[in-house]
Amino acid sequence: MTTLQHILSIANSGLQSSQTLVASASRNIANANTPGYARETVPLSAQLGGLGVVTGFPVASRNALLEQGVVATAARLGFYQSQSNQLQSLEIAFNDLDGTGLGISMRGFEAAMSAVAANPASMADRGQALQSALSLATTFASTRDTVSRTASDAHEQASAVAQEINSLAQQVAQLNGRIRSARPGEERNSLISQRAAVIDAMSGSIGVDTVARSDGTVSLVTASGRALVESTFPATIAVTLSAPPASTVAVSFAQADGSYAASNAPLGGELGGLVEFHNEVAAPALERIDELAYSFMDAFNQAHRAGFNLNGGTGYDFFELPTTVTGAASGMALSRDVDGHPENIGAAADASGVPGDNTNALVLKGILGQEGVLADGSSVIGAYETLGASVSNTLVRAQSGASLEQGSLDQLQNLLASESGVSIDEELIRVTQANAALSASNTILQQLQSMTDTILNMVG
Amino acid sequence: MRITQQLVANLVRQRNESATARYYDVTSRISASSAVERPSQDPVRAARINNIERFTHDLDMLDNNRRTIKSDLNMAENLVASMQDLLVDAKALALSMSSDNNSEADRKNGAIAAQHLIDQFIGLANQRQSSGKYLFTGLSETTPPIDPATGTYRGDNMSRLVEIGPGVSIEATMAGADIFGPGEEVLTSMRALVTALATNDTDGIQATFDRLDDAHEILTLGRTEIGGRLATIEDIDSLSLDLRTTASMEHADLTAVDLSALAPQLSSAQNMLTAVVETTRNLMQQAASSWLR
Repeated sequence: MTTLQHILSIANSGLQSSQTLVASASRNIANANTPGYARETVPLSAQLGGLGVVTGFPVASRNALLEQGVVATAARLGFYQSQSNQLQSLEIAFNDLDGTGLGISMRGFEAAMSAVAANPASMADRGQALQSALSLATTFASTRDTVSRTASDAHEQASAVAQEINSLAQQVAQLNGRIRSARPGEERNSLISQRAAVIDAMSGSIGVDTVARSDGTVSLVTASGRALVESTFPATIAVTLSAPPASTVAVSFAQADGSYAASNAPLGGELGGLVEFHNEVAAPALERIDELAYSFMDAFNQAHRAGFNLNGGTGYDFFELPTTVTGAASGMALSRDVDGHPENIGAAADASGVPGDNTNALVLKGILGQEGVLADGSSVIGAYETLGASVSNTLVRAQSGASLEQGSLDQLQNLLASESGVSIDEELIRVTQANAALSASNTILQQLQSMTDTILNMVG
Repeated sequence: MRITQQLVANLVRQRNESATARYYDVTSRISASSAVERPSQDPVRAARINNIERFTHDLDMLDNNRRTIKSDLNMAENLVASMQDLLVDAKALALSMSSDNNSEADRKNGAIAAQHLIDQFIGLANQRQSSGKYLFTGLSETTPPIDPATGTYRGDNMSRLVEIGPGVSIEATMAGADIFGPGEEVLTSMRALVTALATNDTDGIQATFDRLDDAHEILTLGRTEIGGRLATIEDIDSLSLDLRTTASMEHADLTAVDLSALAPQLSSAQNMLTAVVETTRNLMQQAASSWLR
């Protein structure tokens, strides 16, 4: 039998649930555009014995699979975008289409040597050949400088990204701690949303798997299997650059004893893209440019030493060959024998042919395009063109990858927004429904009061 | 699919980015000086452009070589023609002095005139090209071919090959043997005339007729050789022009910005951008009015 207390209880629970529903809808509306926020729903169920409604803790509508998909895709996008940005800078060094690249200078030097071969006795043509050699040296140096700067930029950016990751990892660990001790419901949901926003912000920077724990905390594990965040303990990473000539960038994880252990596993994200760009593209390109310059100077000198100058002298170097391959492209210079002495260019192959013999000048003219000058059997021009094409093709792949991942990320974010996002219309309907429930509860209370008044009047 | 605020915001952002990127892409292609400004825009096309530019550069080098040689050969031809004129004068002098009407004194004066012709001949042979090099001296281009004191050849008979066209090389130098004869017959025939005139040797004067004719023939052969080389250069000039024209056309095809193709794309990109902006505005207005409701 229904008692007045039952009716009062029903009305009271109705009022409370309506209040909770309105509060939940308000939070949803207020956070409709908050990054990481997932809409709340309030579970309602009937109390045993028909004593009204039970209002559960608000539940955030999260989809772990989609969230993980967004994080993984954002990491791949960050990887390709960082590579693409760096490669665009590097491509400038190898772009001959604007008429200023190293290939253009090589052609200029070839043309100058061709003029010497056509007119070996001409001091003007010989002087021009020396000028072209200096111009080639300048372009080699500027090309190397551009490549070197791009590599340095990649290293510096990687260090900055690592610091940002460390900061975000600390935030995730702190939020894990607060989530573990937070009360279920609004407070915990809010903290989880904040953590999701932080993980989302980190996702483009490094590839991580999110492993959820039963206590509400998450661990962030990199592709190498190392934990970036383990519950409430953040790891610290650092970016180091090894000494030349290898000059590779490595990402190290801080150990318990304060030392750092390098990780060679791919990291993904912007950090992984920058590290891979530095180690796989920029540093090898830098080495290759130096190798090109050194091998060219060495081969040119060998051929030049066999030639005879205008005075019948022989055995002169044309370039001052650096002592090491590393840095050769930036240290390219004429030898003291020919610098300012165009007459010492060894154009003739025989002293008896001086000054009109061009046999050796023809050999010198062909050195840049001669197969076998480099250790791998290629020519200087061929190797330079291959290097440039390799950079362009890698850039095209990175741009395609970025475009593809951007499309995937958009789709995943849309799916996630559709599932976890807030619909103002829905929330307004929920508020309306809550108002109706509130009104119903109010009516019950009014009726109850009316009944109570009637009973008291009857008694009185 | 639930339509949420975040979804709408995402779609608006994505469409905005897409429309802006497309508009930027089309406008930058229209304003670009070349259809391919960076190799990554089209690596295959960029490689073809580079190949054509390299080929054109090689043509430039060969053109330059031809210009240098052509200048030398034109000058050499003029000089040899003048040398032939001197031999004609020498032959005329020999013919006139072989007549019995001439006295010994006349022939001595004739010897002076013949020596003057030799001096003129040596002056022509020793003329230098504008860059300072001598033309009829083989590879010894800084040495005057004929010693003015002795009248003997001081150059060599070596030659220099220079590439003037793709795979085509010609001799860029002229050895003394080609112009003055293998045994310096041209000068010795003139010197023989001087000697015969100076010694009043009528038979000797008559004997120079054939020798002067042979010398003239040697110069004619030399001039023919020079003319042949010039003709080869003319042929290569023509071939080079054809190759250059073809290369230029192909280069233009690869680099030209096709405005007629880009104009509709620009129109489409503008329409898309306008539509996105309009849609965004409508959505924001709806959201605002719905919120106010």
